[in-house]
Amino acid sequence: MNLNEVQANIRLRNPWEAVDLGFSMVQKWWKAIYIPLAILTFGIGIPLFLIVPEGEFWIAGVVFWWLKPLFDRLVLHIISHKLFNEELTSWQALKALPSLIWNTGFFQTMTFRRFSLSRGFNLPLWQLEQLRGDPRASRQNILHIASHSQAIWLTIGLWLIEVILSLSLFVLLFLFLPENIQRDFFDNLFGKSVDYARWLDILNYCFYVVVVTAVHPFYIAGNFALYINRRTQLEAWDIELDFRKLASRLKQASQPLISILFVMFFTGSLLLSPSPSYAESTENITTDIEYLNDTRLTSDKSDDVIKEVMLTKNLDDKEISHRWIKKEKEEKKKDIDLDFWDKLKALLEPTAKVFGFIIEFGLWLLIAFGIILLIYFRDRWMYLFQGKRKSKDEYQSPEVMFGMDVRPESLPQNIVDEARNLWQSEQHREALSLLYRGALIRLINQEKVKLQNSHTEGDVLKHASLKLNDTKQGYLKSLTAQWQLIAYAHRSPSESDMQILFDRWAIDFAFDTNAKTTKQGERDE
Amino acid sequence: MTDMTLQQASELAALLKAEISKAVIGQKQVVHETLIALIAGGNVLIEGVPGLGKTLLVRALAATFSGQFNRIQFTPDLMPADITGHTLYDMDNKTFSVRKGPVFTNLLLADEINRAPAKTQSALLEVMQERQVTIEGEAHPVPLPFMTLATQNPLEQEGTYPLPEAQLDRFLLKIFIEYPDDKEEALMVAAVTNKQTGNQLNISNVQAVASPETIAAMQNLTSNIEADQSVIDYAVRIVRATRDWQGLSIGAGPRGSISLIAAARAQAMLNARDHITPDDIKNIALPVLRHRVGLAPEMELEGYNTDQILQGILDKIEAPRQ
Repeated sequence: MNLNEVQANIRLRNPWEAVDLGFSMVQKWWKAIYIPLAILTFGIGIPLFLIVPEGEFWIAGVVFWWLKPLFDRLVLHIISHKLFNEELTSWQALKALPSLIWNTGFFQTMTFRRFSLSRGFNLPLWQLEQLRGDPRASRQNILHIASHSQAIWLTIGLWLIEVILSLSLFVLLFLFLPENIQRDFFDNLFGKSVDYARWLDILNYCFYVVVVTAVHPFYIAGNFALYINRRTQLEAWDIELDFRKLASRLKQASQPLISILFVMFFTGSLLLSPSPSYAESTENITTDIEYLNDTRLTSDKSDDVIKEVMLTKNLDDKEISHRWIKKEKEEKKKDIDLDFWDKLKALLEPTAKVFGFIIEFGLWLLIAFGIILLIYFRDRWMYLFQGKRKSKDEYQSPEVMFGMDVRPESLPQNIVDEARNLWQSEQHREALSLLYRGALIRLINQEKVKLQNSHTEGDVLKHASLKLNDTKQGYLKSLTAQWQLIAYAHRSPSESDMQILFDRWAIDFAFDTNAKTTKQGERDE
Repeated sequence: MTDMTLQQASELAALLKAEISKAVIGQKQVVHETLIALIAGGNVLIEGVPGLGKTLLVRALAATFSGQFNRIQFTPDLMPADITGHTLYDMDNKTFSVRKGPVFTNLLLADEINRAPAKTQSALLEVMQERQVTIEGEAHPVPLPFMTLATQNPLEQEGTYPLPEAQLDRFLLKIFIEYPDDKEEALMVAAVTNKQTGNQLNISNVQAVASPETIAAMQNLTSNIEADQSVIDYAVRIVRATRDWQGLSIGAGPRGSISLIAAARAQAMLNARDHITPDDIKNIALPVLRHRVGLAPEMELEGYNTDQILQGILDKIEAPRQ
């Protein structure tokens, strides 16, 4: 780091001004930053997209978010080089990635420090100053005294901007949608049974990758500028730079001055060597130097003059004040106390270090244990990366459909018995209604037939035929016919037709899960 | 009304279909929908490119019940009196006598109806709605059953007069007639060219299996088919939805709901059912409604057609559940 080469105007700024400086850096060096960053983000984002199964793009989104510290390091590497006028090609920046991963506390940032809101502000300590342990902690504490809250707000603010930009991209896309798709867009966005939910998922992920690539440099540059500003405050970089500038200016200025003086001295001594008359005439002329020499006082005289000046009214304004002072004894006790704390500290320090080591070791053990668990229970999560079909075909049974409760719990324990009772008590319509509702609930929950509110009885039959075997479909067909007869023709089915329906319910239609009902039906017979 | 009678009517309808299919090869949906319109006592607007057998269909249909058949080729210079008829001064008897136009028939084929100006098209309004023609202030009923089958060509729009909404509303169904599939077309070519000279339509195979009176009886039977209130409500819901549905600039009027129920009844009759179900409504909704609604210009620009929008409505409107 050569302060002389710094490319920004280093001066004391308020923190928000410093953030602004960071944003300007991104604007100025956008090409150097965005090309390697885009290679990295898309290089990670696209394989993630390809690996993760359809419908599970949120996993890719989370992994991409989790990898943000990696992008931090690349951006900081580029900006820090650029700030001190060191040329860096995209390839060089990307080539530095392995060393950036190994030497910048990447592992800690990816684990227990991942949720730190001032991640970007602390990063230069790890990456540029290469501090670790106590020195890093104490240095960080000093840096955090000022600008820390701004770093946190910067994180929150840019996160919000990411969200807004993602939504904006959706809105932009929405503007280009044909009107009939627009109509249902928001319904489908929050609904579950959508044909193009997959596309929304994909778009959501793609937009997120693009937005992170666009916004992330601003986050790191803003934080880096905050860090630089804080160091300027602490180490007076601005003053140092001013001095250096002054020094270099003087250095530059002194070179011709000396040569001029040199030339003047020689030419003057040869050409203008004074004649005696000239010497006489110049006897009374004093130079500035001589004048100063004359007025300079000796130290004794100066003392006198100072004393004299100090006796003037303005400076001789003495005041007597009284205050209580602790006695000697108490001071001694305080000294003892201090000694005690020092001793205690000295005593505990090795113990604390041991504890620290144990905790660190424990954390490593925990991670190893976690990895072993992940390997052991791989079947539980590996399917996420294999079973595309499985996740796609998963069907969430609705709870309300056709304006009625279609949860299995809403049905009586034994549908056939209940329907039989209703039929015998001359409630024919209710009996058939219960049976038909039972069939629908079975179709929705057990057979996973995708039904909609707009489906008529014919549509239900058509959709059920894709899932049911011939026996079940035959039963459903006759049940539907009887139901339509009573619902739309207001005619009760014949006793024999109904008996067939009751008797065959458990055997033909619900035979695989309602074994209990079958037995009950047989007992009734 | 007994089941047997209904059964007979249904069988008769199946026979009619079979006879028509001797002349018109393929186009089963078109034949089915035309029969629905005939049984429901409505009129049909058939849209399709020339040469798909529209005239043949009408002639074959007329032949199946020994009905009269007339054809009017609509041209820009066709006058209303050319359709309805007019009065002539009889020099011998010194009286005015009525000369009835081609509209006095059982099946009227109004070929390329959109080639005549609105004035001439409107001459059909009265007969389509009231089954009578007023000439010189005197109403003359047309023979029953009466059905107008109008055709129009979707491709050639130059020099045509689009049918006004009031006219369109009087058609029970608008049927699209498409190209036959390859097998049907091969069959048709074989059938039409076999022992045939010239281009005339061959309906010699079609036998009369009914009479105009039988058709009228079928129409009466159909009107008595049970329509549950929930099904009527369903039809009304669909039609009302077309009025404020985004993507449609004009919705269907109450005649849309009436036609839906009438057509559903005819469909139930064809299936030998004495009641209509929501399925009947849903199945017949597109031909009943497609000419009663107007597509919004932006949807037209996007390349959507009325059927797609109507299908969207049918997919959204809740079916009746009790």
